[in-house]
Amino acid sequence: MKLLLKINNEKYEIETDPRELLIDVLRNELNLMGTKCGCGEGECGACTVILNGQAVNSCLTTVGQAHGAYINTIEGLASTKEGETLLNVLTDKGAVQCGFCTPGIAVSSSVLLNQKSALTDKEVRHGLSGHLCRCTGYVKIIDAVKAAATQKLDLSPLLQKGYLTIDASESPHFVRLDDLNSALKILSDPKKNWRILAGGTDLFVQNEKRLNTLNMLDISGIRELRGIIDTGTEIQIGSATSFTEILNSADIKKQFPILQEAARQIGGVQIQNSGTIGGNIATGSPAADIIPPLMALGASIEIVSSQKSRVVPIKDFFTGLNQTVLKPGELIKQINLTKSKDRLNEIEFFDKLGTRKALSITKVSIAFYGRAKDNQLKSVTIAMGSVGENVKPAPKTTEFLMQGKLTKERLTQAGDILSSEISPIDDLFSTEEYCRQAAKGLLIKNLWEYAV
Amino acid sequence: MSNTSLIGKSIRRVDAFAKASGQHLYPSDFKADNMLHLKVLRAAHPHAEIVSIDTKATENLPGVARVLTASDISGTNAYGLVVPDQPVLCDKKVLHLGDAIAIVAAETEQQAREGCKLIQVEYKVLSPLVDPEKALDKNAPELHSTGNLCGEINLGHGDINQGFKEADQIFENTYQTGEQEHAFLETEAGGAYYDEQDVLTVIVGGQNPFNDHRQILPVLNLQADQVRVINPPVGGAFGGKEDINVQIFLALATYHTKRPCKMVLDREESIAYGVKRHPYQIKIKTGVTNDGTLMAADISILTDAGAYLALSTAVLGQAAEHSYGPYNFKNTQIRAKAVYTNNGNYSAFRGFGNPQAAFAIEQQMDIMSVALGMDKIAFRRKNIINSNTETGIGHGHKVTSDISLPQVLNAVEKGDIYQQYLNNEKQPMDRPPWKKRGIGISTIWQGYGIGAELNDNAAASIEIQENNRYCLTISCPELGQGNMTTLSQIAAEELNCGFEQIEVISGDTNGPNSGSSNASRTTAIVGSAIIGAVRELKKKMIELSGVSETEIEQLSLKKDEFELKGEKHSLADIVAKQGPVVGEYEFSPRQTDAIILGIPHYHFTYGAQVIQVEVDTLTGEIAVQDIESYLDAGKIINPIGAEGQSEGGIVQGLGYALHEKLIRKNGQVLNPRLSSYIIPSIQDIPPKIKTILLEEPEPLGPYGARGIAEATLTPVAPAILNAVYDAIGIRFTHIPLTPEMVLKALSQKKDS
Repeated sequence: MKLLLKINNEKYEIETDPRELLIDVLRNELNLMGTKCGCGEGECGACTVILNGQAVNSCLTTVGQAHGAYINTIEGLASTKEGETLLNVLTDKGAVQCGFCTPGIAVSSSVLLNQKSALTDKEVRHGLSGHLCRCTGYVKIIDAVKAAATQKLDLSPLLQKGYLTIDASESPHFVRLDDLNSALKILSDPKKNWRILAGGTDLFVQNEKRLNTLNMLDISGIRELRGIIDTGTEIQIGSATSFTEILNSADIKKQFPILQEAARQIGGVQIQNSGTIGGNIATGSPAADIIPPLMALGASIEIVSSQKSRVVPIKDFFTGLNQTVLKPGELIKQINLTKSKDRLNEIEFFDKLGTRKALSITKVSIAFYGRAKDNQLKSVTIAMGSVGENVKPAPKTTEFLMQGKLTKERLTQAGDILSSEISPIDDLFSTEEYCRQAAKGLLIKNLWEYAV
Repeated sequence: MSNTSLIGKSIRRVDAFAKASGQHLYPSDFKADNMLHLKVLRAAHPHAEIVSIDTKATENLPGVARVLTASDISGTNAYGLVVPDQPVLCDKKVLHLGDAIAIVAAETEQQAREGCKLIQVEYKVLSPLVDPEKALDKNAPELHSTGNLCGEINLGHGDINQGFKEADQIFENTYQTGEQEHAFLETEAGGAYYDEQDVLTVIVGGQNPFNDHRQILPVLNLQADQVRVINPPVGGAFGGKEDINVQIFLALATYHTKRPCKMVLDREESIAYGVKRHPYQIKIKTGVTNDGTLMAADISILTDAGAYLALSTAVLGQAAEHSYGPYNFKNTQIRAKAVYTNNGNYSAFRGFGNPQAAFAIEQQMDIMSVALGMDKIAFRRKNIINSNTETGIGHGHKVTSDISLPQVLNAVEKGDIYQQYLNNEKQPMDRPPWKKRGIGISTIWQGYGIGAELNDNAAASIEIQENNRYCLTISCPELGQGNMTTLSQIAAEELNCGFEQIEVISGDTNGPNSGSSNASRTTAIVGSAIIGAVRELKKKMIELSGVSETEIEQLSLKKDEFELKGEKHSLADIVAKQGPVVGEYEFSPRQTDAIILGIPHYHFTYGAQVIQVEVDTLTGEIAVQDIESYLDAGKIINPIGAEGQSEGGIVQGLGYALHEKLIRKNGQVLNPRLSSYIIPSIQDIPPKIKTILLEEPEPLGPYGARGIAEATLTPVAPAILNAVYDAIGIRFTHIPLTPEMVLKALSQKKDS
């Protein structure tokens, strides 16, 4: 397939399999060696490039997704005066040791720094959360990026939102559409087993090194699947809405902050830029972090196919480990959340324990929604992640919490009930025993301030 | 030093901008026309006999240029840094899952991978040895003809039984450290080709091109001048690229196909098959009198050597040597064993046995000081080694090099965190009741350089070139630690020229042999070689200027000229008349007599860390709040470089202590990805890391410099675990210390 990309301000016409990874095209075909491969699974960030103004992992992006995109690599960054300034700051501040992680970090930093005049430690740590470094201990990287911020760099030329608008493209194994009905029609053909591609951050990891055996349907451009709408009574989130879009939404911040709390802890920034709410839900994984807050908030999932549409409450959406109610030919259209009529006395939180504080796999997570008045809890919903085949509510704990006053003693007892009603297992990342104890711990610490 | 001196200046790294801008070509960036990609078929079982290998299907696969097996090796099918005990390609037996069976060279990487899948190997599967203790059983299968005991070291002094009799309090614990994966961001990689002079040239990420070179030659039956190895600046090593990884595969494939070849390990291959830090079990029993005198230390060390020797006995030696800490135990017994298993392969990693040793002894010191009710610093101070007293390894050994631990302890005592500890200021009022804070310290010594009676020589050369530039040539590769810059600073300082006049070439067998980039040695030892090379250059200049009977001291070098007995000579003139002028020197660092080859070191640096943690008793998470790292650098050549080493070592130590659990079952790594083998992310580092560099000169180091790279990592784990004890009163003896372990211990404590 002929693909048109603008890379570092140069137009490219590349004839290749659209399922080829962008990192391979950059390094092998275009001889742009500055972008590095450190892990092949979007964990280390060494492969980061800017695509349509966002930092993404080029090891988790196909060149078909980049068709029509404006891309900047480290070479592009280095060719600008502002970029050179940034690289000099990194160099002067001792942020470069072996240097292998540096191009990726410089690229992410340029997005973070653009037109800023100051950055806090917290902002830098979040902005670079999708990067691993083994040499520097990160200290001088943080110092350098903060120092670079004081230079008020205008890096906007690197952050153009697109090169060509390509609504639709077609090749035998890779199809992009911007129209939902056409997509559903294609999806209804059982022979080709189309894999739905929104961000690809899960699809590509699951099918590492065999992407050229898949048929991919790129839905990321379908208008009906993107965006966040406030209808008055509901917030509706298109399934192909990215975690970054969720993090940037004032509506979600106001109405459903625990969704942002979860989105912020998914992977790192690059994963949040590419990954989508629909993709996360569709994995059916108990460790998919956006699911617990959606469940605590009573979300419903609107599913469409070429034949019909249906709405399924999220608590009924999962049918087993990595399994959902989605049938062949169906995809998730949007997620609907009913706004609370009043926000009186709301308590909500999302908390997760993972393998580390960024780029982490969840061991146990809890999402909680309820109301408290006179130390009495009402309307409580709890959803637990990673402690069963699917994300599940905790009905016994919920019932117990709503009886009587919430005292510290009752809270502790509720923790014991939670501990016994979940179903964690021993696995590579944790133990059943730990997850039971830690679930209790999470409940207690997050409700402590509301208990007498 | 004058203030025009380059020593002590944070000179901008010479290689950094090229790396940051994506211009530097790493070994994994290798590219050549007509290049083949290599993939290697590894053992399907950790312990098996090979019955047959059938490569027919692969040979017929489109894109596959060549398949190589053991039968294609005309020379010696073996390599190893110390002893050539590892087959390049196995055809009789496999001893771990990283053992290689065949190399597939194909037009694309995918074809090479597919080619590997089609190779049919018939095995007679044997039961794997996965426990070093069990591997010593009489009935255990022998992995090597010499048996399963890879190495044994016995050291000590005094009378251990008498020592315990005289002790008032005795403490005994078994400590266990986990395997650690280097997780360098750039995996093992490189390329090979025949250059225009028909020299087989191998460009690879390594730590000593001469070591790579001497192990390649016998495999191909080639002479030294027929092969050239280059170790360019690489994406991290930390000891994990000392052993051969892709070098010989590349050389073999290029030798047979006559085409350039490239090989890059996937991350999964790198973690699954690459060398690791040895896991250590240390049983330690220490006895102390009530007034704090250390009477006895009985230390039993058992480590898993993995399938082959690699550097296992060298690491064992360093662990044994450091096992009693920098303290005077009046009586010691140190018994250390390394045992072969089928658990992968273990070798060098920053610290080299000392992180394991310090983990045990520094917790014992903490336990004793707490039991005695003695101040932690005072207890250590009372027992520091000195140059008059035989050390715990016996044989009359005394540390005669400069011991700066007293100064380190003084600095620790005055530091902010320790002052907080003394004033009992750990628990701020605003913390919720389930968060407990604690403060811990550890103090260490770290021998640097290779060790007694091993070749630790370093050669360097300096050449005056046209246009008033000097070319410094060293072979110790740039691993990211900044030695290209630091060593150039030393050269420029000695030459009294501008830093920009120095061009540095490193990592090439075409040039002098500076020894490895390892053992914290390049500043301290190669630095001295450079000083010698400048002296030799000056002698040459004197010769060439024809001024007779002149001492070197009478030669005064300036930017582009030198002055000799009142006469000025320009550098450009000399070069124009004579051609390039070279000064070369080989430096032999001082060593002590060996008690065992490699033991002991002559040179040590000293350090300490003071760490504050906060333990969440509801989730078991340990959050490190604050770290102070004290390091005696002897003389700081490049401050920002030294700090960078400290910060990097600290975070690797943090991972070692709290996050990096390498899960191995039946010889197989179950978490061979960066998503499952957890190194610290930017969100995992403490809010405060402070490095305090002391400068207590080591008289034999360049300007007094000591080697610090490893001493940055060694103190972390024991300081953290001592802090956890201080926070929650539970002594943990295993690392990595996970939240799972913490919560389990907390609930057991509650129950009892």
